[in-house]
Amino acid sequence: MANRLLNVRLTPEDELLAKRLRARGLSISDIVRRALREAAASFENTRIEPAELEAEMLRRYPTPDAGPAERPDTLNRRAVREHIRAKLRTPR
Amino acid sequence: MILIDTNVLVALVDEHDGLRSRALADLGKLKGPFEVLDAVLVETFFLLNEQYLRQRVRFLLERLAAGHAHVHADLWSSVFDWLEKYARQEPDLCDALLIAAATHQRCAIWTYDAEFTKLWRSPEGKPLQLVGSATKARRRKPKQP
Repeated sequence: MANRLLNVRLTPEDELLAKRLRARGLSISDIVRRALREAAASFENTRIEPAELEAEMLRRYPTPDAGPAERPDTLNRRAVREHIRAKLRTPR
Repeated sequence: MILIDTNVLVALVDEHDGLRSRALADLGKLKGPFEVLDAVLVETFFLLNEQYLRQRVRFLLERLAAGHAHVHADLWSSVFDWLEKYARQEPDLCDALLIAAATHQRCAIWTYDAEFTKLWRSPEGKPLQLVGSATKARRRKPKQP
C-alpha cells in the first residue's frame, strides 16, 4: 500500500519540538502516524467486537475441509525455530 | 499502544489454535492502537502456510488498523546486548525486538509467552508491560472430524 503525503502546518514552537525529536533520531512521520491512530481510537472509543470480527473473517475466508496443516505450538520456541529452519532448508 | 506477538496473531486467525478463545476474549477487552513488527509478521507467515490464513492476517490487521512498528538501528546494540544477556535461555530475535520496541516506545506487549512474565526483563532490568490474560501451558486443539 502506497503511503500518502500529508502536509502539516507547524507553529514555530512545534517546529522547534520537531527538530529536537529528529535530532534524537525519532521519525516525525512515525510520531504523526501514531498520534493519528491514538486520536482516532480515542475519538471513536470503539472496541473490536470479537464475535463479529470472527464471523466476518470465517465468512470471507472460510476454512477448507482439509483444515490447516500441522504446525508447532506457538509457545514452544524451540519447536517454532525448528519448523522455520526446516522450511528454510526445503529445496525450491 | 500495544505490540502484538506472533502467538496472538496466529490464535486470532486460526480457529484450531489452542489460544483462540483467550485471544478473542482479550481482543474484546483491549483498546488499541495496535502495532506489529516486521519480525512478528515474518514469523507468523512461517507458521501459516495456508493462503486463507494469510488472508485472515491481512483482514485482521486492517480491521485493527494496526500500524507498523520497527526498531531503529540506534537500538540494535541494545537488542544484541539483551540477546547476549539471556543467551542461556536461547531467546528469539522476535522477543528481543518486541522488548526493545516496547521499552523504547513505552508501550505494552500482547503475548501469551510465559517467559515475558517469568523471565524476560527490559534492557534496564525492569518488568515488562504486558497485556492479555495470564499464560498457562496449553496444547493445540485437535482438528474437528
